[in-house]
Amino acid sequence: MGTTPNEIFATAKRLSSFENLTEADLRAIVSRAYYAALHGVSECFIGKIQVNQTNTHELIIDKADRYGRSINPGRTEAKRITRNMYLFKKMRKAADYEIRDDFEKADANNALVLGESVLEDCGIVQQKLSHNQVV
Amino acid sequence: MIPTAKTKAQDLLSKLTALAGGRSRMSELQLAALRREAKESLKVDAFHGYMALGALASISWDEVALNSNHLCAINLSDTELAHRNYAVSLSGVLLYEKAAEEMIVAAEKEPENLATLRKAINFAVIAGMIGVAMNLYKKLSTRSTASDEDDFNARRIAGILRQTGINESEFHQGQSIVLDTLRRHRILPEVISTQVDEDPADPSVWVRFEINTSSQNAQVIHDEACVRLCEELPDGGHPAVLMFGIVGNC
Repeated sequence: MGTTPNEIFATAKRLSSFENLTEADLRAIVSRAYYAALHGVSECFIGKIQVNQTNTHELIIDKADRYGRSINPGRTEAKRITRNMYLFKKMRKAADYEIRDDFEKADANNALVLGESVLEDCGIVQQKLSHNQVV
Repeated sequence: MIPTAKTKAQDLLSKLTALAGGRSRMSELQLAALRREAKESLKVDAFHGYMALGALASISWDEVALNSNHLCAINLSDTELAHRNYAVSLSGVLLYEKAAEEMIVAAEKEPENLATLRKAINFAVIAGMIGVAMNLYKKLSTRSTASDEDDFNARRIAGILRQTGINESEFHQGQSIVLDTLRRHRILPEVISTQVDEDPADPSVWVRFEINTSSQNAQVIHDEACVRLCEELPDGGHPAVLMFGIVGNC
């Protein structure tokens, strides 16, 4: 059956709505939000590929970066996606690997809005691309 | 030693310094009352009175009044205190480059005052002036073996820039763009922190500007800064290495 970036993001949002979240919950929110965004970017710029190779994260973000440097419609959004995804990658690294450091609710909230911003921008790029094809 | 009473202007200046963290919670009425008090104090202690007016102008984001009042204070007494207070007021409107310059002048007026030299390093790092921060750090290390986070961060940032071959000017310009974006919105960050990742496979410098608002509101301003970074940095910069983030704290 499979799933979609939006469904993965919905999981992050659902988790964030629960009460008495533990630090591990907060870290999981960041992780889910990041992967939702990563898959969204992948679908936007590469197509539906499996995210399971080493350096695939960089490959996906790099595709967005190259698109942003082109003259295609949606390049401003692509540039913003690139910057935000590199930042998001660091946030997710902190959430998943730097487990001895403190992690706050605000960190999870920031990840959620960052994920929303990236997915929204992906939507805009896809809209501009399909509009371009119709025209 | 016989203690001398503080003038009203000195008292006011101390009060404003203590209030620095809560400046966003001061009402226009409170500010107006303090301005009146400061103006009256000019007759008795113009030096501290002008510095208090400069500090109040900083809180109101009035750069013209900030500069004119502090320059009046400096004309009266060209001292470490005058330049230091000018620097602090400039940092209050996010003009960190000029704040660093003024704090350096203050440090030169009192070379034995290591706290002022440390503050100059702090302001230079926030302004993105890493070369300047490193030179100040070398000066500091001839006078003290103790180092703190800013000294350490300046060295680590310089290390990442060297390792990745990125010009210091990109970091400087990136910081300027984010600070300018916040200044346009008249938002003073609660915290500016720098996280340096020295992983040889994935080196990076992440400057985090934490502002007192929701994550949603912070993201809007962050995205604005993001577009500017993409458009104004030469060739879009190096987003994989130099990252700038504006985040909310609630």
